[in-house]
Amino acid sequence: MNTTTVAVCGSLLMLLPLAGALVNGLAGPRLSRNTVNLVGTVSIFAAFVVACVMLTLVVGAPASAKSATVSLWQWINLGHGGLSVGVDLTLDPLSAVMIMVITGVGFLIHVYSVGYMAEDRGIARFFSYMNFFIFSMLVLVLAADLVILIIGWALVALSSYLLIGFWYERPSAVIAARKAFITQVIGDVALVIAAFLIVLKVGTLSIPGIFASAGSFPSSGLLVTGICSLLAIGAFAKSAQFPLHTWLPDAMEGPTPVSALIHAATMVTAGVYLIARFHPLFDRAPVAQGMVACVGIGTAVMAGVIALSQVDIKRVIAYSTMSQIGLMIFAVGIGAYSAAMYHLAAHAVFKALLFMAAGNVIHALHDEQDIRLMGGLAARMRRTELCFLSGTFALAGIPFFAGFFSKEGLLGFGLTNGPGAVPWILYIVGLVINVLTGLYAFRLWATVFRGEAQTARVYAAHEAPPMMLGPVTILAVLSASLGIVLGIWALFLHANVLVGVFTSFLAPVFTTATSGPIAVDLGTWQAVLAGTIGTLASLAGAGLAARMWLQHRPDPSVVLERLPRALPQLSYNKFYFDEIYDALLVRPTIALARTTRKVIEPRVMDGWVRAIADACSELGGWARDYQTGLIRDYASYMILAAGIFVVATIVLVSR
Amino acid sequence: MNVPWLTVVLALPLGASLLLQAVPRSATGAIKALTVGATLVTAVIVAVLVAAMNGTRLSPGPLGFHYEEQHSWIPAIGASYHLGLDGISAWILALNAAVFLLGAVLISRRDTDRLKLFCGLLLLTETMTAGVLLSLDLLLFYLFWEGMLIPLYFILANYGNENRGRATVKFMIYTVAGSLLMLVSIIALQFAGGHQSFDITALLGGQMSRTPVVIPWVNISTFSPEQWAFLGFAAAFAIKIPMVPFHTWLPDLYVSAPVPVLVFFAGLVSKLGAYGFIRFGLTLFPDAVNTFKWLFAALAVLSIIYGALMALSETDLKRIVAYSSISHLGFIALGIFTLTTNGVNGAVIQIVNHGIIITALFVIVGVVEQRTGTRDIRELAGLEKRMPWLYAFFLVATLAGLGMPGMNSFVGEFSIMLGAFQLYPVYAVLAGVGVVLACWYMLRLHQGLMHDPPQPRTESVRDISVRQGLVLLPLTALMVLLGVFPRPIGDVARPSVQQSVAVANGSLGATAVSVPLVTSPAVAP
Amino acid sequence: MLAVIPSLVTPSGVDILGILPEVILAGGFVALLMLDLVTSPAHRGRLAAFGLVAVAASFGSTVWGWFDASTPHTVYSGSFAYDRFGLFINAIILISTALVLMISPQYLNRRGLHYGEYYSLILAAATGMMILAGASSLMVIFLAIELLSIALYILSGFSRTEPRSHEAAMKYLLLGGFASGFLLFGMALIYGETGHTQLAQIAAALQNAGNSVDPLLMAGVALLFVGLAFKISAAPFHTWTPDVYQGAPTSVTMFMSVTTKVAAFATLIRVFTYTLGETAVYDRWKIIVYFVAIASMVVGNVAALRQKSVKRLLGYSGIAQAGYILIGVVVLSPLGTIASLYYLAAYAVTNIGAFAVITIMAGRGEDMDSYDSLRGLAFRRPYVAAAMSLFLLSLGGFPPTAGFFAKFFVFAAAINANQVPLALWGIATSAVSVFYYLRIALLMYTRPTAGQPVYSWSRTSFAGGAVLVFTGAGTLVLGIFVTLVWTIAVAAQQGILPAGVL
Repeated sequence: MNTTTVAVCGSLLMLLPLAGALVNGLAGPRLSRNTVNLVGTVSIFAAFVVACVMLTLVVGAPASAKSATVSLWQWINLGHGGLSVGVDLTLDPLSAVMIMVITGVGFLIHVYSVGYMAEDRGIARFFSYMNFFIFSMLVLVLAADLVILIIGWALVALSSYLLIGFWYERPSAVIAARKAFITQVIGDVALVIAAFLIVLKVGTLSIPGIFASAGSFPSSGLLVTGICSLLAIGAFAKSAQFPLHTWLPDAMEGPTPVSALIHAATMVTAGVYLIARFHPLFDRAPVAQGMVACVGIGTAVMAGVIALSQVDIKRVIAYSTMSQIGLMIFAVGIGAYSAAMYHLAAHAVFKALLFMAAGNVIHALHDEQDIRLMGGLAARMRRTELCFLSGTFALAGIPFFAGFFSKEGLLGFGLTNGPGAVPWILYIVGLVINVLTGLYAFRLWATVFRGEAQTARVYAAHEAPPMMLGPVTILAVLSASLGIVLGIWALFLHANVLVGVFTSFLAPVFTTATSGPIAVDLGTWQAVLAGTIGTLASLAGAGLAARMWLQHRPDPSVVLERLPRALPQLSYNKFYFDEIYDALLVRPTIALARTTRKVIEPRVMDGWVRAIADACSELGGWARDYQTGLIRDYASYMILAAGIFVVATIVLVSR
Repeated sequence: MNVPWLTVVLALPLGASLLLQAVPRSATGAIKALTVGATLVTAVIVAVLVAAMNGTRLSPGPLGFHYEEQHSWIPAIGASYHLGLDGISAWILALNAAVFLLGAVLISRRDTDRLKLFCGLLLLTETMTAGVLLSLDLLLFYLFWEGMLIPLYFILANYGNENRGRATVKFMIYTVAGSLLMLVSIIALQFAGGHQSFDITALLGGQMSRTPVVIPWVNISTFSPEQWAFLGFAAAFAIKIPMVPFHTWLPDLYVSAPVPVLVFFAGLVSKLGAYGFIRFGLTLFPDAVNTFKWLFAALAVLSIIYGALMALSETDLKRIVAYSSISHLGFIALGIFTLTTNGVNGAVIQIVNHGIIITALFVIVGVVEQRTGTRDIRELAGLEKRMPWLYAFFLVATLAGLGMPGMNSFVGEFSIMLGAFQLYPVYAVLAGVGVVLACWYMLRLHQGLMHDPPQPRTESVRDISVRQGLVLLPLTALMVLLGVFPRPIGDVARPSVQQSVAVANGSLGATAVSVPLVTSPAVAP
Repeated sequence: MLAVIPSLVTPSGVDILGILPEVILAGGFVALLMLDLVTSPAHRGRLAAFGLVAVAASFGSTVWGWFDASTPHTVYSGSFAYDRFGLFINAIILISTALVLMISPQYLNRRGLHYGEYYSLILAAATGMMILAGASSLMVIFLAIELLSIALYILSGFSRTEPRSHEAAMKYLLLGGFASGFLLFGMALIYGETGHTQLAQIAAALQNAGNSVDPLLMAGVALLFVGLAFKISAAPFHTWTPDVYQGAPTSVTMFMSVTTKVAAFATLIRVFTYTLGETAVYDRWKIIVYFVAIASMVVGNVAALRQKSVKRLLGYSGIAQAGYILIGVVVLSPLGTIASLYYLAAYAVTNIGAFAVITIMAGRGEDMDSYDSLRGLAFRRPYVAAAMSLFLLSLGGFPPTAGFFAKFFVFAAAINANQVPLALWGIATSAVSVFYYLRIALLMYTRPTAGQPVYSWSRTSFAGGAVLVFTGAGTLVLGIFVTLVWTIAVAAQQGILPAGVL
């Protein structure tokens, strides 16, 4: 690829959203609402166009030169033996996919926001934050140097913080924003330390440079394992994986478009991207990979269980996001990078769809988010329900919807790769996840749109304005067709084609992946069987949900009467993670800080200073007391001293 | 060019302060104009000097200087008037000029009592601090170092809130005790040098005996003379920075001092300790520095964590900022005592960055106090609604304060922690904990002021004035610019830092490097 | 002409040239006594003017002597040293005396004790001090001390109406007599041991005695030191200082606080460093002086912390300063002597300045004694307050003032002689001293709040202004252009008699 073209496109791609952010941020209050909307959306659309151009660049490039790295300027250079970092961009299939998802889905969500935020007075601020997020996300995925990647990594956290706390007069939002940001910073620190380990070993932080000398890391050595574990921690913080997952549900305090864009489609998947990007290191650290896979699948199950009993419509979707990303993390953990990336893309589509549809509902019910007060909305919001349904199908992995092939793909991969009984265990867990997904997905649909209305407000609800409905519809069609079209094609031509196309596109990036074949061959009979069983599991879950919620609406906390009481409680209280962290981390720190201020500072730190001062003034007191003003005292002092001196000298002499 | 520019930089504020005595006390306009003008001209000269630096050549020797001036002063004892500017002092000198300019701008003609006295003392302080940064002769350095306290004392003792008296006296005695210990070390160093000279270039590389001192009668062998002498210097510098546990003078003083004073006091004076460590600690006592680096690095980490914890639990805005400053200065000290190119470079960069950040933070806190009449974070909330501009500036300052990647302080903290990691991975990790805590307390401060529904006190407040905006704009702009394009500082500081680090690690060679960063040859991308 | 007169006076050549400054001043003293009789009370200011003339003349001859005495020698059969050391001390004493004379009339008028004896007594004391500075025989030392002491006893009681002044005079007289007793006894013992009264011969005798030291000799040395330590007001013989300084009229305090110390230190250095500096003896008196130095630094500084009277405070500060100067004596090195000389010069100019402020600002009938009387001075007398702060900073040892380099050289001498502990004591106590010096400086810059007494300061007379300008400039010059006085002090040290020990 022509590097100058890449440089120009890359800079343009990042500058457009940044410009939009600056215009809206600085001049916003003086601009008319329409101008603000225009600036906010058009900047992203332009970026989308540029992204398409870049995609064509990559597609058009010969297989040998699918990746190009360009340097914009020297960030810092501390000379020989010192740190040296350049602001470099890299364009390759992987980043191409990411920028397509970011700008594409991002643009739709921006359009949707125009409608959703129509009444909000802070619209300019909102769009400037949103554009800034797109900019940061692009920095993150295009960065060709670990330091620059870390910068983007932190900037997305910043924009997420700003947007979660967008309604800053809402204390819960303020707290949620802070929680999210601090969790992210923990991840950042892990990344920074990983960067230290890398640079001290290979002497460079440029990502291509690191990979070029990846060979210098002894395979499954301690160093590379440590690096990968630290990278993974960063990824977990970003992608809301156990144990750093507690911020995501609270993040739902932000406006719904934010949840759709940041906490479903793009930012939270950055962790997956990071691990996929650094696969040359991960492939050399099987232990870290195994850890990643376990965390991923564990989070997937946990989040699925929690989603079962939540009553806030957005939180349910948030936990499903957590669960889906768990699957992706699991996938990259077992080396199914391209499958994971495909699921990432598909998930971006249908999860954004779900959020925006939910947004329609919330909007129609005037910021009501409790599903126990909904129900029967299908009658009044037909198209929204259809779109929602399309998303739900995709989420549940119903055949021929976007989620199907991706999910079956990586489950099948898990089945066909890996040592001994591991694949089967994983497969069983995968089935459980399928059941859970079907269960909570359709539970949500049923409780919100079906059954009879629970409040009068429902009767007043009406369909969302076209500005909001449009993007939702586009995504709905996309999430349905993406599966159906390619799926039918797959049936009639070659079972492998769907993930195959994607895989062959990403192949240049993942050439060095060592753990088995990249492509998921759906042609083999096991894979077909696996897919079928998986589908049946999802359908079973869906059916159970329909049977349980279409007729009557049990209290979510007793959703599973037949199970022991503890499980629903655990699920309803999110396994008490917030409480545990509060007790183990937050409170002790605050207590420590308080003791420092109340005891250590005054008593110890200032104590020794004051002690000296007091001692001096005490001495002064004595000196003054001996100053009696009486001549006889003074004379006796003199005699005493003189006597001592004489004796002293004489003693010294006779010594 | 044979204009003694460094002397000009020293003399200009001094001359202005003398000239000020001719101005009648009532002509406040003239006084203010003269002060701002003098500081402005000085700033311009310094800016030109620094900008032209890369053009000039380093003077030969293990420590090279871009600009140098030397005249005889007290030949009898080998003290000379020796000034020099190199990559380490350059940016700090620029910071010096900048903060005094800002301080001069911030002085309010109407509200300042005895404006003439204030301006005169401010200009005098600038001369002294510039002298500290420029002098290469230990005695001259001490002259400025200690003389700096005189104008500072009268400023701090005369301006500020009611309990400024106690705070100031505490500060004075604390610092004087430290500096006197340094004085003893200076004298000992001069005698040990053999050739009677106070010149740093003559005393380089540790010339004092390294055999332990034995206390007579009890026969306990203690540190070597070089180590004792270093500890003397360290006392002065550690108190000035300040490093925990020598920090207790700072919070009270920062609380009592008015904002125009804090701008240059917090912005610059506290950095002089760090500068002293780099300039003299590393180069004069290589052996001692290497012996004690673990200790001082540990104190630095302690300062980081301790300051963060205090900032987390304080409720007074100024105290929060003060303790955050202690924590940040801990990073700088940590970088210095890694004795690596990365660490020391990071320290220099961070000195400049922190000067910018702390100045902005104090200006902001000052505005909040002035507008709302309180400094208690519990009585403040929801200012974002009423003061959008302040919110914007404060947001940038907060992010810079918590070491946000992409902001200026990230550059410094990253290379400092990298340097620390090269020597003490544990310290680097602990510093990482400090980063997380920093994020916590900075957000607590920022959100506490800006978010949540407005309180009675913050119901109807005006946004910042134009003058305050003019002060905050360049500061915040720099925070972003130096974060995106930090290279200038690094490029200017690099050669000098490498030389100092080389000396500190025992080699008087010009460009030898202490800890090679790369253990395996770097692979070009 | 000068060559003629002495030949008429003394048989032994031109010895009188060696004591010319003292002779001139003594003549001035006698002449003043006469003039006082014929001067009307209204014009007593002229007496001061005449005194100044005498001092100037004496100073002139001192300067001339400086060049004349390029080869130091003793006169009057070894009883008086004609060396640059003595002349250096003379110069300090004469300058201080001149400054005192300049501001005295105004102050005395205001205090209502403007009597002619004052000036003659001042000159008498100054004469005694100058003789003490040059004395190179125990006899002369004793005579000189008595001469200056008696004059000072009277002066300190000069404010007849004030009981406090009486008390001061009484204390000074009795304790001073006491100290003279010690002094004389010590001299007797030394004479008994060595058989000599002239320093040079004593030194020679000790050198011959080699390493064997007799207890009685050491007792004599100790007692001699006690007598001199009283004069320089070093702890634990300082107790009179605060009371007398506070009780005596400020101008007198100003005079004696400086000149007495300078003269006494001159003879202390001459006797102890250059006569008794013989190793065997030194090893023994070193310990005493070591202790006295530290005690003075500690006592003077910590006692000053809790004072409420400026004059007492300066008294204690004087005690502390004596301790610092003693460092220069105890290290027994040329550098130490030079340091002490530099310190004496710096101390003189600074302390005169500080007392001058108190004297000039003193109101009608009252001394400016309490801290409160200084409160807010800066608002009404900015320049006086600035000068006072300068003096206080110099006493506190801040650069760039005389006090800094004084301390610097003293510490340098200690470290150079491997007496680091002394230097450490010095800096520890200096750090303490910062507290009380700066507290006064701050007082002058704090506005008197309602309810606090507002003190009515007098206007600065021309003479007073001149004194402040001179002392202020001197404080800065000694703090920046160090070489000037340094070189002179070096020359003074090199010319000192008796030579040979160092």
